[in-house]
Amino acid sequence: MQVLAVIGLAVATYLTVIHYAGLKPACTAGQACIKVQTSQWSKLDGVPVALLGLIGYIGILGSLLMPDREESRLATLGLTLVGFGFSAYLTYRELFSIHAICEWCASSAVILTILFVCACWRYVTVSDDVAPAAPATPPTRNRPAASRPPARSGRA
Amino acid sequence: MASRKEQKEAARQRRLAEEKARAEKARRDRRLRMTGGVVLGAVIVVVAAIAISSKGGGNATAPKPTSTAAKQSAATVSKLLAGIPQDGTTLGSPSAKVTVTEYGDLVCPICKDFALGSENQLIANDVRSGKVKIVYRALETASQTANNSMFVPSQVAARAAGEQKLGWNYIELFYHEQGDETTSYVSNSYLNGLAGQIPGLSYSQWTSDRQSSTLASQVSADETAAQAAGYNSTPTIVITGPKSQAQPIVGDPTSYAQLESAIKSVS
Repeated sequence: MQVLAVIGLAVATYLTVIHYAGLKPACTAGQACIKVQTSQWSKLDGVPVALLGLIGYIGILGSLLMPDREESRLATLGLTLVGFGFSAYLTYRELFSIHAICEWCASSAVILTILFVCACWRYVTVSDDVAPAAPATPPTRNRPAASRPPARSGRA
Repeated sequence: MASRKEQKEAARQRRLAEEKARAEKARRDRRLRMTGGVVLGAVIVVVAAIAISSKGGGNATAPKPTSTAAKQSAATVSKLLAGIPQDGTTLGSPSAKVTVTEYGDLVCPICKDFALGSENQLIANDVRSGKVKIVYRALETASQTANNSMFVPSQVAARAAGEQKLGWNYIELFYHEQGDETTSYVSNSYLNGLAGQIPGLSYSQWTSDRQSSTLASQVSADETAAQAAGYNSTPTIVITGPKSQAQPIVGDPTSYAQLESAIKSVS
């Protein structure tokens, strides 16, 4: 997942840099990338979506680099869900509104989809190998005698 | 019958099992709350982003030429351009040392961002002072999505206004009142409505000039020039001065300062 997040980060960085540098994106599909990146959906309230993607990938990578706990896995799940949901919407716009597919954007959408599926799997399987940050009940066996519940007399 | 020791051991095992079950249930409940909260938060963020994106890109429909919004746009444009020389699609003094050539599509939303942003500052400062002139040239991009049969008529309409030295009034008005690029809002009646908003424009002459094959061939020549230069995005801004030509700016410049810097480098 870290490798995927780094690749996604590289894609988002590239798109952000060419946006601010005013350069044309390398694109094998003719003018498709330019058409997408100069469309009204290339910005969210004035902020380039490439920059939002960059921030998102930094967040995802950060959550993956945190100590492996239930909370960090949940953070990854939440961030990838946001990325997956918004990139799915942008892909819909590419297909049905702009009628052009930007390969950079599509690759990011694929990466986010895979990351989301992996994050779901990683979180669902959390109980098998990862404990939460602060266990609710310490193991009974190691508890000091003073904290043990009083032994009940008679038949249990 | 089990011995007392065995009974105590069995009771202990049951207690441990109960404790474990309670701890497991508490953990499950906590996890469910956390998961629900995070998923709900993520869904809210995505829905909000989609809502902003859906309404933020452009007007669903362009304002009617007789509306208050359209009249305000016409007044803003007239004020911006008042007193600045125009010739065809060139705005500014013919003797200006620096030429900013903008390749644009009138239905392109990024061109609108540029027109209403740093280009307006450029006009108000450098063009008005006589330092810079701007040449508008046609390049079809967003029209392919909106209604490509109206690309040439819209560009010719601006040039027909240019025949009366009001071409930039038409271009600026178009950007001010631009509609949603995914809708086919540009029609002949829409173009006529824009022309009707320009103070001082002779409508009958403009209508006559729109039939000119010379103006249509100018649009084709612009497209050919753009292709020859490898420009395929709008806006593409080419800045040429006495010293040199700056690296073309593709898309909306990040700021007026970026334009100023490029102008300075070629002056």
